[in-house]
Amino acid sequence: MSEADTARRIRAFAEAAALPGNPDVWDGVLARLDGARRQRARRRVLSGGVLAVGIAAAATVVIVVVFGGTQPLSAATVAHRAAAVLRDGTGLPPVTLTEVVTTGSGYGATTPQRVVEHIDYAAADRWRDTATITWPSGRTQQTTTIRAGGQIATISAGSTSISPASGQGGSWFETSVVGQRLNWTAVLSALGTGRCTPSLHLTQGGPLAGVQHTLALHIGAARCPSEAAPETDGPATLWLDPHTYLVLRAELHGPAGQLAQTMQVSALRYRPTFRAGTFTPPTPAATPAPTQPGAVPTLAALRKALAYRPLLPSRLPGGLRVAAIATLAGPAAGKLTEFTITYVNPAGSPVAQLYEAPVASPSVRFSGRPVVIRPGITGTLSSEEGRILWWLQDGRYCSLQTGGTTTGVQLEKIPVSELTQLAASFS
Amino acid sequence: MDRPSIDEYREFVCSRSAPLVHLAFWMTGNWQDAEDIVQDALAKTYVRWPGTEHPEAYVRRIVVNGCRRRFRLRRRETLLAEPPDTPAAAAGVEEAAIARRALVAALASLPVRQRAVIVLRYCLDQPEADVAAALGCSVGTVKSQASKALARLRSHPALAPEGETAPAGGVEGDCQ
Repeated sequence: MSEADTARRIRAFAEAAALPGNPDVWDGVLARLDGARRQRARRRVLSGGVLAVGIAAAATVVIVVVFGGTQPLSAATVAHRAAAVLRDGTGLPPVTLTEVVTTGSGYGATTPQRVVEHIDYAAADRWRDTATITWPSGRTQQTTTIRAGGQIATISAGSTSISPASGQGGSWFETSVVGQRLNWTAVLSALGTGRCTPSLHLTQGGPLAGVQHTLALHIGAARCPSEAAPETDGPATLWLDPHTYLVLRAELHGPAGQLAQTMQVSALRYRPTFRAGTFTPPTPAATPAPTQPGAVPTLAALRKALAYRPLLPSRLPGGLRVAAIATLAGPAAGKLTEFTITYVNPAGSPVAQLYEAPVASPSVRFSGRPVVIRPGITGTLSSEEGRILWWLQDGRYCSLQTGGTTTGVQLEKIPVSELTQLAASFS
Repeated sequence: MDRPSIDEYREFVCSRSAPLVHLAFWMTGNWQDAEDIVQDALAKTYVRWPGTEHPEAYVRRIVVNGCRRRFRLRRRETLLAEPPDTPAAAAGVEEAAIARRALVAALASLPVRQRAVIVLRYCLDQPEADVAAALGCSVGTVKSQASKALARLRSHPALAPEGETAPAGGVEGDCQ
């Protein structure tokens, strides 16, 4: 086939393809006119020599001010530094701040719509967090948590409980209401490596909470669906203080692009002078003699023996029923802080056991895969045969075990779905 | 040159959009992308109108550049055997689809510049000078690129003659 033949064949194929002769593009063009005008206007502005010089100078100043004259940091580095600050306060100087968290609809009654949190942070093991929580029902609740060295005091509804601070529960951010509610873990865990790493993009943000030049870290939508927090699988933007990498503002979107959660720091002061006694937990009120750990006959007796209101399942799937209740060691304010409930199946065989303790207790956090228990609450299913499901809820560490042996009880297995159903009914 | 009234501009859009969309379609192999690129190009043209001597040539050039950009962004995309969003013709659907599929596949095997030359020159039947203007190159470059492209396409299986016959519709006819 000669070149001329090839050309003729191309013409013939193009004609035979019979493309539509009158595509309707007018509406689309009309819709884009404004955008094109704006784009052109922007280009015109940017092409102005004086402005270009000004922008270059400003950029230099920002780089010098923000990065101390060193090379600008990459978005990934900034993200990891921000994560480290949230995890354990790495490099964070003493600070006092107030932040407001709002949650979009669709999370159900178990997630507060609004949380105002005031934080006094002196060091990783000296901080105070006062949270005012507004529930969807309109009810408000105030909880104060004080970390003083090796102890964490939780003051809620007039009662104080003190427990040892260790492990994950001792971190200021993990313990804070904001930390537990804002699904940061989902955002930060997405910053790992591999194919699921979302896109990261760093730009200069505007002034926020008295910080002149912030960094805006744009995190793309999750590339792998997140089991841990599917509500915030969409893109997220975090505004950071460029000196401390503290998050000053956050906008997290859902997979459909809707705004799911926001956080904004409304007041911020570094290196403040803290009032005397800020980090001193109140002395617990005098109470009757401590209850001795051991078997408890009823749930009512359990509630009475504990230093806090226990979270219990509101319904038991698969014909399960309560067989045994026991409190464990761990006196706080003269009362007990840890307990177990063993559930049996209709045949009377033990199949599951609940263990509950304050969130700051040194309870083992088993590694495993995330499991959504209900919107806003994600648990971890241990990887060892998938027998232990643990999660944090309303200041408690809860775990449900099926199969294996625990506290001397041999458990038969129930399906993970029933375990999750059980967990989902906790209130 | 003053910017046209919106009615004049609408007339320009309606009269020129078909060949522009066809150009973009043959370049990208995707009808949706083609309309998208052309709409963008036409909007840009209106904004630049007062400084544009030949709006038609200008818009064609923007379309080609838009296709190049789209190609760069989507070069890892796999071309489907049957493009999912190509338009269906009222009659001769089967034959038209086969021809579209074959030509899209053949054009996809060309580098973007050569593809643009072939589409403008042979599918849209543009004179070499107009092709050169649209691509921002010389007429000589158009000729050499066309020659190289035809040489590549000569052995392309999608265009290989079945029993030495081209699709029905006329061997000598214009593209559109």
